[in-house]
Parts: sequence; C-alpha cells; structure tokens
Amino acid sequence: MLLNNVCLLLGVISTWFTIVRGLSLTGDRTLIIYDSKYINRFYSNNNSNLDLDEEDDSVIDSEKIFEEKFSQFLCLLESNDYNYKLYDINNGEDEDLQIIKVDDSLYDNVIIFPISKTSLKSGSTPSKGKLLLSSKNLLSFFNDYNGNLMIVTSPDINNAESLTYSLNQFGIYPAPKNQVVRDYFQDNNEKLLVPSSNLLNKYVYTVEGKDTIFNLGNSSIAKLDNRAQLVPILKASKTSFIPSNSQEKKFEPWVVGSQGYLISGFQGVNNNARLIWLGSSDLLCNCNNKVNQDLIENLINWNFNAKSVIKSLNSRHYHSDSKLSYNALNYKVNDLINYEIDITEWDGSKWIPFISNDIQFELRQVDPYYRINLTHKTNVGNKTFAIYTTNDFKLPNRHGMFKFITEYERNGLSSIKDEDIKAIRHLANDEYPRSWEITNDWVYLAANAVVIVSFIAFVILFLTNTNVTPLKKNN
Amino acid sequence: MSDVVDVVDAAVGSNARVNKDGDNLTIKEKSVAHWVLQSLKILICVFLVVAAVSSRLFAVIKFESIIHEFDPWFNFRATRILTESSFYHFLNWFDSRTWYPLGRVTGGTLYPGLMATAAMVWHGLRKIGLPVDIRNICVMFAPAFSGITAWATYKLTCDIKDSRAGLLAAAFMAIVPGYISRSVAGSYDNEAIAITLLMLTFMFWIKAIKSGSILNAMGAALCYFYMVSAWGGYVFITNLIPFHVFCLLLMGRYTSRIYVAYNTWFILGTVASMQIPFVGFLPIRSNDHMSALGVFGLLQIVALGDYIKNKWDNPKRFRPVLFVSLIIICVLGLGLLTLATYLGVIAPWTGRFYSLWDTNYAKIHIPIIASVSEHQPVAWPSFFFDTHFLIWMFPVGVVLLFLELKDEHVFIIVYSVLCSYFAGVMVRLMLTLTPVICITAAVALSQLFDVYLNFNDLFTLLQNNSIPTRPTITKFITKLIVSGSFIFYLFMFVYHCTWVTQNAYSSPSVVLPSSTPDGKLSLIDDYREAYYWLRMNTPEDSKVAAWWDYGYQIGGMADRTTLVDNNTWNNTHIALVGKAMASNETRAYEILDELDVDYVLVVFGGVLGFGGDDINKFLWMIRISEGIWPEEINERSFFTANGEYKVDSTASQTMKDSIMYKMSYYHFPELFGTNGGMDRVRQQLIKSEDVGELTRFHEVFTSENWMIRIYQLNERDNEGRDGKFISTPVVSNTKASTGGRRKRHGAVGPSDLRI
Repeated sequence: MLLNNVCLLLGVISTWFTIVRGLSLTGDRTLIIYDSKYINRFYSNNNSNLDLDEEDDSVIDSEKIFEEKFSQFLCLLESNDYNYKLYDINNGEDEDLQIIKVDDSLYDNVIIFPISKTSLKSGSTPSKGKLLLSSKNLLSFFNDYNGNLMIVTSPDINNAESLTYSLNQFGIYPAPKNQVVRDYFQDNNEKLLVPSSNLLNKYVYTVEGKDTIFNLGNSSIAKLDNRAQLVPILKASKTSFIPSNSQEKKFEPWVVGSQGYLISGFQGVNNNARLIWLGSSDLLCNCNNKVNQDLIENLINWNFNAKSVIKSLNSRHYHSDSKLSYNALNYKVNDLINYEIDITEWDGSKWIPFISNDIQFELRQVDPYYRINLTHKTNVGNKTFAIYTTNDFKLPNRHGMFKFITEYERNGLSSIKDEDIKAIRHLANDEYPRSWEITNDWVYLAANAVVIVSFIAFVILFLTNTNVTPLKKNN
Repeated sequence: MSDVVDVVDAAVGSNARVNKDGDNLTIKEKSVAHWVLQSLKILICVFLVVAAVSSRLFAVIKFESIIHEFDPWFNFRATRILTESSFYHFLNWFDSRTWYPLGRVTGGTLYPGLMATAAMVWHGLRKIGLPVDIRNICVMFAPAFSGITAWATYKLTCDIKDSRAGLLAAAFMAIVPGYISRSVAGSYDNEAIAITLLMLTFMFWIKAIKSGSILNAMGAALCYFYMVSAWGGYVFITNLIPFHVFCLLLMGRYTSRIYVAYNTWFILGTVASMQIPFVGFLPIRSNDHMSALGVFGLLQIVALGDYIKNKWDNPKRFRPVLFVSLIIICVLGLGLLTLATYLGVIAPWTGRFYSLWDTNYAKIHIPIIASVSEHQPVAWPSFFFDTHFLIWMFPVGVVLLFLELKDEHVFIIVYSVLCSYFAGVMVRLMLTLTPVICITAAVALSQLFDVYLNFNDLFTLLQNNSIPTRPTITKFITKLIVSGSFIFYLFMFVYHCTWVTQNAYSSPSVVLPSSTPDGKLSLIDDYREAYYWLRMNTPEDSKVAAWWDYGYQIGGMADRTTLVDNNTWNNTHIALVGKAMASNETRAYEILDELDVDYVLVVFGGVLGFGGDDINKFLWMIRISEGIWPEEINERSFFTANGEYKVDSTASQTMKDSIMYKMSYYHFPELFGTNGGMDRVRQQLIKSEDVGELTRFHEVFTSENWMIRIYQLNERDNEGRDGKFISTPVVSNTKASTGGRRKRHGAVGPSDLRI
C-alpha cells in the first residue's frame, strides 16, 4: 500500500518532467524474477554478512525488502502502464515462473534480477525452476515468442549458469565473479560513476547537451561479440579497470579500460525482440535513482518496444506514366517505374511519421542493379506515416526476376525489410521499332527494292527480246 | 503421279514375266492386276501404320497415359500454355518460373513446331466436337506421327529402288527399335515429329533432284521449314543436302535439275527458317550453315561455267580456265571463311560441333556436354540392339546402291556414310542413322528377294506340266533355303523389335518398374509422390534447387520455380547449383540464400539400388563447377587418398562435408540399425558417424523408397550466429571441461570480439 501511494506521488511528479509516456507496443505483461537471498544479502538494512552459498532460512519477507529497495524502479514500470508480477526464485510457485505455456508465452517482458547459482539449484522449485529458467527456455522465449528480456547480473555472486549461457548465445560475455569495475578517476572507490558521454546509441538514449553522470555502484563488465545485432549502450571509461582480488592466486582482468561494456542491448534478426543486459543491479536501486532515472526509463522504453520502433506499412510500385500496377500491366525492360513505401514510428503513445534521409531502395537480381536514396514526400500530409518515393526510375535493360527491396537496418532501431519479387520481361516481337523507322535501314530497303525491280525488268526484257533464240540455233 | 505409274509398270512388268510374254494379257487383265496391286499396297501400308502405332502403345498399356522422361515434360507444359493462351503470347512467353532469378525467354528459345502441331490437333478435334484432353494428345502424338514416317519412308524408298523395297523399308521403319526408342506413347519430344519431317524432306528432295521440279523442291523447302521449327537437328539436313549436291558436282553430274532443285530449296528454306525466333540470323552467321551457303555460291559459279562451256568452241581449251578458276574460288572461299571467323562475323565453332570430331573434346573442355548420357559415344552392342539384323544388311545395301549409282543413290550413300560416323560419336544421333539403315537394308533385302523369291520358273513348269530338270530342282531348293532363312530373320526381327519395345523402351522413367519377391510387377512411384508433395505442401512461389536433370519435371509436375533445368542454356548458373551442392553447409547456405532458394531436392538411390541418383552424378556437378570456380571446388579433394570415389568412412572430408553427401545420407544409417547402412548402389557401408549433422537445412520430405529427399533452408538465425554455433546446444561448462573455476562465466567466446 505504501508503495502504491509513493507511486502515485512519483507518477504525478514524473509527469512534470517526462511528458511522453512509454507504452509498450508488444505488451505489458511483465514478470520480474529476483533472488531473495541476493536481495537480503546486498540490500537489507541490517546488512548482515550472510554467506549466500550457505543455507539460510532467516529470510524474512524478502518481497517487502525488494519492493522497498527498488520501489522507484517498480513505480516507473507502473507509471508506464506495465502490469508486472514479482517472483522470488526461492519462494515462488512453479505456475508463476512458467514463461511459456503450451505454445504461448504468458508474459511479454521478463526482467531477471541477479540470481545466484545456488539459489537456482536449491530454491523452492529446485528441479522445475531450473528447467523453467533454463537457457533453452529463455532463448525460445526471445526467439520464438518475441519476448523481451532484461537480464541483470552481478559481479558479487556466481550468476546462474543458464543466464550467463543465454547471454553468451547473444554474444555478451560478462566478467566472472569478483571482477568489479572501478574508476578511481571519477570519484570514491565504493561506486562506479560513468558520464553520459559514454553512451553509444542515440536510439536508446539521446544525450542532450548537458552531461549527467550515472552511478552504477558495483558493476560487472562484459566483452561483446562483433555481431551486428548487438546494440552496445554504455561503454566503460578509459580510466576504468578491474582491481585485483587478493583471494585469486593468478589474477587476470577480464577487460581493461574502454574494451568493456557496462550495458548492452540485443535485437533479434527476424522478430525484432529486444534484450538488455545490465552489469549492475545498483543501477536500478532506489539509492541511485536520482541520477539514473532518465537512463532507466530510456532503457525500459527501448527494451520493451516503447521507443525506436519503426515499421513499413505498405510498399507499392507502378508504371510512372499510366500509374498502372504490375498486376494490371507487367513490367518490361526499360519501363519507367515509381516505387513508394510508407514508414511509421511508434513514439510511445501513437504512430507518427518516421523521418530520415538515409533510407535506400534496391532493385536486385542477386546483385543490386540500382540503389536509390528514397526521398520523403512532404507534400502529402499525413499524421501517422511518412511516404518515401524513389521518383521515376528506368528499369535496367535486363530481363529476369527482380526484387524490389527496402532494407533499413540501423543499430538500435527495429529493422525494416520490405521485399517484393517481380518478373521483368523482355520486349515482345512487335515491340521493337520497325525496320523503316530506323533511318540506317533505308539504304538496305532501297537496295532491296532496286534488286526486285531490276530483276522483274530483266525478266520482262529477256522474255520480250527475241534476238537470243536465233543466235543459239546458229551455234 | 508419275512415280505411281512407274511402280505399277514395274509391278505389272514383273507380273508379265510370270506369264513369260506380256502379250497374253488383255487391257482388262492389266487394269485388274493394277487395282489388286494398288489395293494390296494400300492395305499393307494401313497395316504398317497400325503396327507402328500399336507397338508404341506398350508404354500406355504397361504403365499409364503419362508424359515420359524429362524434356517431354517441358514440351507438355509449353503446349498447355499454348492451348491456354494465344500464339502471340506463346511466342513472347517470358518464363519466370525457371532459371530463377534469370528467367528464360522461352518463346524465343524453343522450337515451337511440336507444340504448335499438338495445339493445332487439339483445336481441330475441338472444332469437330471431340474435346480431347491435351495430355492425351501429347501422349499419343509420337505414335501417330510414326505412321506418317513409315509412309514417307515408303515413298522415299520407292524413288530409290521400287515399291517392293519401299514396303520393306516402311515395315522396318515402323517397328525398328532405334526409332521406337524416341517415339513411344508419352515420349512427347521434338524427335517424335522431327524424324517424320526428316523423311518427308528427303522424300521431296529426291523427287526434286530426279525431276528438277520446282514444286517438289518447294515441298522440300516447306518440310525443311517445318523441321527447323521442330528440332535443332535440322542442321543435319542443312548439311546433308548441300553435301549431296557437292558430291554430284564433283562427280561431274551437274544438270539444270540440280540447279533448280537446290536453288529453290535453299532460298525458300533459308528465308523460311529465319522466321523461327530461335534460329533467327543463324543461317547466315553460324558455321553450321556455311556449307549450304557455300554450295549455293558454288552452284552459281558452276552454272556459269557450264553456260560458258556450252558457248566455247573447243571444250579442250576450257580445261585450263576451269582449273584456274577452281583454284581461285577455293582460295578465295577459304580466305573469306577464315577472315569472317577471325573477325567474328560468323559464329565460332560450337563445342557440340567439336565433340562430333573429337570424342574426348567435351570431356576435357565442356563437362556439361559430356555429362549428358545422350552425348556419349555408342557402344557396339547398341547398334545391334537398336536395329537387329538390319545392321549387317546395311553395308550390303550401300554396296548395291554403289553398283547403280544414280543421283538419288549418291544421296543415300552420303547420308549413310555421314550418319554412321556421327552415330558412332553420339548415341543421340543413332536416331538419324536408323532411317537410312532401314532404307538400305530394304534395298538389299528386296534385291535379294527379287532373285530368290522369284519362283516363276516353277510356276511355268507347273503350268506346262513338264517334269522339272535337276538344275531347276537345285535352284528351287537354293531359293527356298535362302529366302526361307531371310524370312526367318525377318520373323526374328519382328520378335526382337517387340521384345525390345516392350522391355527397354516403354518405361516412362518417371515411374520405375520393379518386381515384388513373388514376381509381380510393382511400380516405384517416388518421383511423382515427391513432386505431388511439393505441389501440395509448399507455397506457390517457392524456389526449388535441384540438379538440372529434374528441372523440367519439377516445373511440369510440381509447378514450382526451379533454378536450372534441362534447357542447359546457362552453364554458369548450372555450375552455381553444382557449387552449392559440393560446398559445405555454411557456404552452400550462403549461395542458396542469395538465390532465394526455399527447398533443396536430391535424388538418392542408396536404399533402392537406383543407379541414376545424384551421388553418381555428383562428379559432374563438381567438374562443371570446378570449370568456373577452380579455386573453390577441386575435384581431387573429393577423392580418397588413393584417388577413389568413395562414400563410406574412407571418403574424404570434403566429400563428407558437402551438402550433397549430407542430404543423401542424412539419417540413412539409422534406417538399418546401429551397424550402419549399406548403400546398395555403391555397395559401401555408411556409418552414422560419417554423416554429419545438418544445421542450416532441415528435412521436410523423404519419399517412400527414399529416392527423393527434400530439405528446407532454415530461417536466418534470430541471434545472427554463424552456422556452426546454431546447432551446438548450450552445453554447461563443467569444471572438468574447462579445467578451472574462473572460466565458468562464458569463457568460451568466439575470437571475433568487439574491441
């Protein structure tokens, strides 16, 4: 109850600051999975030095602690109309953890707070919980059910294997336990401060003039694969490093300086589902909410498809002169064609025209024959989508099957691939210019006529000239 | 008409010999004999046509009314398009469902004669109230035309010898396996109509050269045009007729008849042939046609020389002029030919042409030509198999023609010499050799029968009631033995023809005959099963990658877009498919994905023991693609260290990695249990560890006898991973496997990191 009141208050306050609410396009059913032992250990007030790896039943009302410590994060979700459900890996029911149920997913978004390996093994649902949170299930949720994932790992524990392996499949390789990032150039040694200039993707978070500094607290760091689907969001500073840990005999830092990443996103190739990995749960914690709130909101909006979502509504192409479509009049070589595509963007509450000047159209037969920059048709007023056009272009002098493609892939934006395969035929036998229309040909036509006329004249002369016969007879 | 009278005269003449003196016959008796003979001949011809048609129906009776083999499926599909739309549409038909993504200008690259004829028959039958299904017309097309072939052969041979030889030749032609092989019911191929037209053209040509009639020459030209519209083999006529004329000129037999016949045929025929879009300007550009053009020019010069010679006072003084002009013409002609080829005005000699002279040429330079079994040299037994005893009557007939050596005999001799050679080079050309074998054998046999089947002496003796003398008896016995043995040969011939037709040439090759353990006939229908599956279960615009042999069938039966087909016009595109088949999965996926392929179809005979499968054709795919991408595909790497082509565990890694291997043997060993499966074609043991996993393709269909296997390309990996990572399940790195606590957290990363 307390939480709800705080939320209301915060909601009112937040509407002052952020006018745009981020409504998810794909759905609001959200599951938040957390590990009460982890929360107790690192966020409870009495901060007793409990060893997580040991069995401990003194956990009391962990849900309350979680709600307290992350109340502002939860409020943020609530104020953006996310319908969330909390789940403690140590106390929850199997039913609730089932993210996929008989060929349908029960949630649209899943947020996973750090879960230790032992908790997943020995929680209230030892066998099933492990199964339900298996990497196979997580990958399937993302790939097959278009689910969005937010996975938070912690440098202080042995993170559950299924989580790290799932991340590895996405090309994110978080540092092992106890490799905590520090940057003594920024501030004190208890927390990691990262300036907003380290943000990498403008579609996730746009840096607007003023620099802010985010507090990440105890943060892990990750290496990233070189895949195009990865969306690096926040990189580590040049001056950051991983201090040596006395417990380790042979210490080898996971990464050094700006090699590593603190926050990274991932977007599916086929389904545009999104994933965010956070190296630190402190980022979401109330204690740092003041400095991080903007970032968190942007991350959530991006992650759950409330921003940077674009799609093509319709594409069409037709003869420039007659405005007839392909079905009405098939294309042949050298025809003048116009191609148009409508692109729209989700701004968090409604569809608006997507404006960009780097969208390209391709006419392709294995290799592209044309690549044409699309221009925005500004004269056609429309509030929900933008019409892009190639203007008139001439089909190549080559028959065959051609693809009319618009492929727009920008890191951080959902990708657009609009493809249409059409045949371009050759000229029919009567579509070439007739021989007499070609001036060069007049010479040959004249020669032809002369031969015919002279032959007929010769035959007539030969037949009417009687002198020949007596000559032959004389011989 | 005149030749009919000739024949009748000859026949009556022989009848007259029966009665020793013709004066005994009254006019009435003569006309009765004439009518009897005439109606007998008609009756025989009708029987021959019936025999010709009915022996070709084995295919329908044993199997069903179905289009055979590969090319006929395209012809059938084209015919259907022609009947469904207009001729204009057909002529300008751009086929976007083959040769994806290039497409094929089908209307401009086919010989429309066959389809046009079938469509005309279809329309004609509809006009008279017989709406026959176009498929049945196509199936029955070849047998119907074989009847006409027999008649044309009869007419042709009549002009060579007489009507007796003609009837024999027609009988041979009607049932000889060499011709039946390409004209059974369902074999709806260009050759079905082309041989008929070949015979018709030659028939008119012989008549024209004998009579010097413009009408007959025009008939030859029209038939030639029809032939051009129907079959690429028209080039044979284009070369044979000029060669015939050339030989006559060399023999000093120039007459105005030759002049008239040749000029009429050449000018009309060439102009007409240029109306076929696929031929176009070839008759004046391609070297295949140069001989006709050269002889045309030569004939004008010879005619001029002949005219001058007639004007000359002293023929002896003409000789040096002749020699000098001959040398000048030869040098000039050769020089022009070389120059034109050098400048590229006329097309260079084609590969098919080279392989006619050097049988090894194709094997070395153009694997795609060599890969076609039709283009292989003939094995000796097949001569006997296809023509039985005619093959040894054939030289006898040629010798007999040499003895007489009239202008038309020169033609048959030239024909037989040229065709014997070409048939020795290419199996396919056996088809053009068969008619001349029939004609010459008929000439030889009828010559023999003229003597040995002539029992007139006996009849006169019987008539006169006189006692036969000893020489007459021996003569009679000799005649009886000789003619008896040859009649026995004829009987054997008919028996052989029937047997061969029934057993060897009637199989549609779409449906394979086999027998159950208890000896009953059972049909292996995997092809149609698979094609039907494709038709029913895949999106209409899906693209199927298969080796080109199956292109026409997929287009005709499954109605799906193909990458390559039996119209092998683009070697590079075929090589691309071969390269995909020979590459490893990742590379193959790249190639096929670029071509928008949805399904891959392979033919596998290992379960059934069907030898014509893709693994056996695989070497050709490798060779063809190696010809284009020698740096990527290397034939040697598909062999074992000992240079053997093997598929069992000793096979090379490249072989095992190729998708052709994987797709053929995918789950094959498991079919036979744990010890691995025996490939019945190659007699090698395949073990499950030899067959790698498929990660970027998945099996969607395997036919009843595993002959056709269809795979689908996986969707692009949603996580954008490389092929090898996709299938590897997320394995847990235990301490044992990585050896250390520290490595637990995703230490196994790809080398390609973002720095």
